[in-house]
Amino acid sequence: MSRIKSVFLSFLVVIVTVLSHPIAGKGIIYIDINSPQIRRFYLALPAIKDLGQLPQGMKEEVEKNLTQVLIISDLFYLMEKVKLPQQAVYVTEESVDFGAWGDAGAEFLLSVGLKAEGDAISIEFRLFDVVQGVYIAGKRYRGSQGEMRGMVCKMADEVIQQLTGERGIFQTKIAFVTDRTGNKEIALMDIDGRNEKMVTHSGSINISPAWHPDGRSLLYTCFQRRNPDLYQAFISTGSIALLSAAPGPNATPAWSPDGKRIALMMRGRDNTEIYLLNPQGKDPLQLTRSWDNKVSPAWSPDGKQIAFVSDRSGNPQIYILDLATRKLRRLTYEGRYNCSPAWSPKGDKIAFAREEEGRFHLYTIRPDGTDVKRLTKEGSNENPSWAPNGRHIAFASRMGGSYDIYIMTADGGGPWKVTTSEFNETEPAWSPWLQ
Amino acid sequence: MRGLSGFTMIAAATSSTIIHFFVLALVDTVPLVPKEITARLNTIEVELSAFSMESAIPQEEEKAVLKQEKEIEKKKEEKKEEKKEEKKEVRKEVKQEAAKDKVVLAERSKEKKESPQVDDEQKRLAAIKNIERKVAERTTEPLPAAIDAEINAYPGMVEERVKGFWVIPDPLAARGLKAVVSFAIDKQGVVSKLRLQQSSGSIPYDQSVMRAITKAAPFPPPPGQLSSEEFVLTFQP
Repeated sequence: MSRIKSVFLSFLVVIVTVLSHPIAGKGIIYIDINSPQIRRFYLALPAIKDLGQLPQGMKEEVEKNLTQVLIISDLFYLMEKVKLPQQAVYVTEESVDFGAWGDAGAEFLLSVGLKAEGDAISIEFRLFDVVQGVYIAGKRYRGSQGEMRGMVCKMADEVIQQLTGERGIFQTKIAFVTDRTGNKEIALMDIDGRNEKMVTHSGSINISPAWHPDGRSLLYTCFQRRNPDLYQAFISTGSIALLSAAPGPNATPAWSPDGKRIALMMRGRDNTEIYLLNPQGKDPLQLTRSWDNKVSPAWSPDGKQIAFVSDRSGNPQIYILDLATRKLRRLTYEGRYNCSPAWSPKGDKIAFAREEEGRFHLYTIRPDGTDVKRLTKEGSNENPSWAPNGRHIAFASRMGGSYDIYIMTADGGGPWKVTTSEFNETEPAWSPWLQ
Repeated sequence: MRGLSGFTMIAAATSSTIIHFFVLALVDTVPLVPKEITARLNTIEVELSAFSMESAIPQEEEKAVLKQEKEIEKKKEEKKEEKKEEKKEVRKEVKQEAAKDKVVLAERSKEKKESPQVDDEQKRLAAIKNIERKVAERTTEPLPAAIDAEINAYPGMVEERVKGFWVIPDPLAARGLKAVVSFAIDKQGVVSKLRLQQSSGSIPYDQSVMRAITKAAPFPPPPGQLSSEEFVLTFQP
């Protein structure tokens, strides 16, 4: 009797699971889990441990830098120190009471130690998954005191890679234009403003820096020979090459994502047109042909389309040209001045600047013209440039007196000021992944 | 207006009187890499000891996995559409499912061959389960309708509970990843035999899935019959 019942019951289970769950089989219940919470992780960062002989103030400085970098990454909620079970602790995998950290709400624990050995400094971290109670990764970096911030950036990138599978941006660079010499020169810096170096020394006007996709050189326009000519500067050697000196502008260059072509603005009949050049600056191919002025080409990441600015409607608006079909469509309709298109590395958005009451604000729009969002809230903001992760944007902004370079998240979070001089820093160009 | 790439900038640059101080920039060969950067490249980097995580999946393999997943996804979507359209198609689907189940079973039996210990354990567990079931039947005999409702509701509860604890940062949400895990839920609701059946190819993603289950556990005690079932959860944003 009970045997029959048992058979009946298991039969019932199968029936029920088949009915309620489409992919159910014998003894297995299949469940699809969709719609996760997409949000930042709760990261506990207890005070950095002094592992020996630290110069005064160094621990605090490292802590400040690391905290800022982690906040800019926009991937973590950094937990308040007072809410942590231990505010200053250095833990190795043998000594973590995961329960206590989990109760405090932490999902991950980043434990950092710092040590001085003569002129050298070593910094080490250990990263734990508090929920599962496991060690994830740990590394030690050793270098001179001057390399401290670089090591912190390296460490942050490693933590980000471990937790999100995506490279961190803290070892990338930003090229920009500065007028501090009395002219306009192109300079280079780390994304927190460190290691600033001049790229050009022409004593002339140098504008529109554009990275080669390999991150080794920059295109830019220089007026040194009175005509706005196209140059290429090689970063590691410092050598400079003149690529195109056609009469009229050789301006607003942009490398194609495969590095095989250069899109730029050159002279048309009585206007300016978009051209393509080969990597040596030769073989000009005219892409557009009409009476209106066109500038600022921006490649889609697949290299199949180019967004640019045209005044054919009577004022500057953004258009998209399909390279295969040569079909042109208008992207922006709102606003009477839209310029500086920048296509996101993921291809899903185009950032641009729009004039509103005498100031510029940055927006993003989908390539199909929908989902227009304003990103900036104050000041006048120009020249958006995407970080290679597609999650951050660098731009030039005048919030106070002079223009400075800022970075923000792609939805307008932040922004964080990068340059702080009283001179004008403009036209940031965020590098691709380096190394 | 200054600094805008475009009309205004070119106009400004050409209209202002530019004085050229230096001869060609070509002569300029100041090394641009500062000493700090060169030095930083020499920064020593040491992996710290730890008990090992799963080793990273090689890129090619990852690509292959992603490709496979895409194909599976495609098939899945096609299936969904078919379902909506016609009942006739259901038969076909059932066949497909049966084939799928066969594959799953084949895989499982393969695993069993590979690990006789697991086989033994399962046999033992099955035996225990049988005894438990008999005992349960003797003492409590709920009405079939009540069992039906309880059993019906349980997988949905598991789904909601796990989903509620699944957290990923946006870089992981946009990559079209998929991971499959399996586990059992014992009579007390405790999770056992938790196993990653199919890696997404991304360790952080796989770990987000394992964390979700760790957080969701223990579950409410399942209706008697379900405690012997294997739960297979597919995680896709």
